[in-house]
Amino acid sequence: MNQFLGFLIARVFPPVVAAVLFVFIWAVVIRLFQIQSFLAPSPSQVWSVFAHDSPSLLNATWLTGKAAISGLLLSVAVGFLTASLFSQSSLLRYSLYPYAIFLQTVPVVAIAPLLVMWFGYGTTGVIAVAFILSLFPIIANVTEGMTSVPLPLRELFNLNQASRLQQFLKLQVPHSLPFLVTGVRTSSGLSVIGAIVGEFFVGYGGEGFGLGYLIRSSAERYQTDRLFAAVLLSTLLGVVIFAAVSLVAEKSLARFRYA
Amino acid sequence: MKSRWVACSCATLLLVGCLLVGCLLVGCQPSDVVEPGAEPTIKLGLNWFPDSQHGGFYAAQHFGFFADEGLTVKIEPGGPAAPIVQNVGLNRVEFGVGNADQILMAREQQIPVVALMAAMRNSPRCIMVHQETGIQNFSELADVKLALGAGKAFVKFLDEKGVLKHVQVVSYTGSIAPFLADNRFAQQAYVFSEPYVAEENGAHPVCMMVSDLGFNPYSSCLFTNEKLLNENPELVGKVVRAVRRGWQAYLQDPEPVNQLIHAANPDMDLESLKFGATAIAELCLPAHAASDSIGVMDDRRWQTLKSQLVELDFVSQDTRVDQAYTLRFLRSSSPDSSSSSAPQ
Repeated sequence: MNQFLGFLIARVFPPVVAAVLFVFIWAVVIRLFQIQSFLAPSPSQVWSVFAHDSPSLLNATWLTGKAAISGLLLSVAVGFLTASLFSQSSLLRYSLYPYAIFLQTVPVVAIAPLLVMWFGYGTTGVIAVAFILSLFPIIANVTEGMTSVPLPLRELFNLNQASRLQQFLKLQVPHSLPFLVTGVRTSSGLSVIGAIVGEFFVGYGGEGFGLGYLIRSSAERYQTDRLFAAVLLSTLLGVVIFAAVSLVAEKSLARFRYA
Repeated sequence: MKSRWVACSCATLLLVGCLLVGCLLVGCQPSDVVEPGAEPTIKLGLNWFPDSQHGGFYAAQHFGFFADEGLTVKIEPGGPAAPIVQNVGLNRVEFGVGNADQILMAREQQIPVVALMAAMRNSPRCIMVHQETGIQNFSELADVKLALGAGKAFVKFLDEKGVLKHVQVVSYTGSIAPFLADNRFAQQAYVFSEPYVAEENGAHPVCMMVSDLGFNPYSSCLFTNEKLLNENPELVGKVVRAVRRGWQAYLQDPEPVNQLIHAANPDMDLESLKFGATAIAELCLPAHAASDSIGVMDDRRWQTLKSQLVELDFVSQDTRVDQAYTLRFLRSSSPDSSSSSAPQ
């Protein structure tokens, strides 16, 4: 019980106080400087959007979340495979790695309309944008993990005449897992951004609308309070995915890290 | 202990400083007020990249109608998501160009903008389909992907009319490339613009006017904010007069003005501007309308628009439509004469 209380005081209490303080300062600044609501809404206005619109907001968050997570999972699979190939052939790595950086630097807003044409409208297009944005951190981190196995470990494997496959499966892959976690954590926020940018251009047709659409339509109608609500939900979504990734990593990878 | 206090105060100062700078950027500072009587440089913000829908504004510039009124006007091009309504509402930009439904939606959000005249009496908004689909009117609209903008009132209107039942609605990206690539693709368009580009690229577009279904907000309206309207109605009257003369001149002789628009926006070539000017003339002055009636609006049309937007749940019943526009400068200023008396 005491331990639980300690956890509450040390880990839960400070961020809650920070949030309350933030909302308070926000409200005071709006009131003090008499900022008009179409420039920046007060916390109470944003709250009333949550209170009135929660079903459609939650549905939008759900759709965006699904697309972001799908894009993230896809990027983990493809990124891990790519990094595995890179780790096996330095020729391949040197030839293609620079182009993988393109994924990081490409202005996604500019190519999103193209992706829509290539991958089609609806969920597929949104997932494609989320995937492309999340891919690079995975490739970069996992490649780093697989190629930075400490020399003594490699020598040990060589000494015991381990095959290349054994080296890969029993040494490089486990060594890369903490790096993978770092990559996925970085990508968790990017996947949400990707999904939202995708929704700017794609939309889901009959299935309803995601946060990206909500952000755009609120801006179109000068509803700054609704826009803030959608942006808040987007950031929350990123945090939730980040926390989920961390939790899964903590539970499943502990063995590799502390072995 | 002492150093801790110093650190704390430094941090607090930094925080307060950041807040102040932030507020300055957000715009808590009072905006420039145009001095009555002086020869002011005023800004006119467009709602899009310069094209035919802005012809009259550029014409007023080109033919010196602003100068006739003693005005120096700077036309500021817009673009996608240009916050022109907000900027005019804050009086950072004195005048803006926008559509009537935007004005009412802005009023709903307490943005104090007021429409002064409407360049286009009929809305240019249309749905563009490929001729190959055989679709001729809205009742036949089916089995196509239809690209529509987010949060637009006309989209909700079409939806309520049941027009979108048999189509797959997708987001409008602002490009007509998907339209050109696919015969079963349809999109929103302005009748004086995209159809021409599509035809140039070998497509055979058919346009169905949204106004035919009854949703017809005034378009390319000149608007200002309540502050300027109350403090300096004379200036507002002068601008309205110059712009109305500009539109008359543009419809009669678009050629030299198109050169100016092309210079401001090289993406619009002279051929498409020429097409645009012809197409826009019918929207500005429908059959039998006298050329000096350019820009006029009437109460009934604004009332209709408001009840439509209320029905679509885009504005509330409490929104005061009478505050969203004024006819006073249309009654008192004949666009033909620059010497007419100041507005009442």
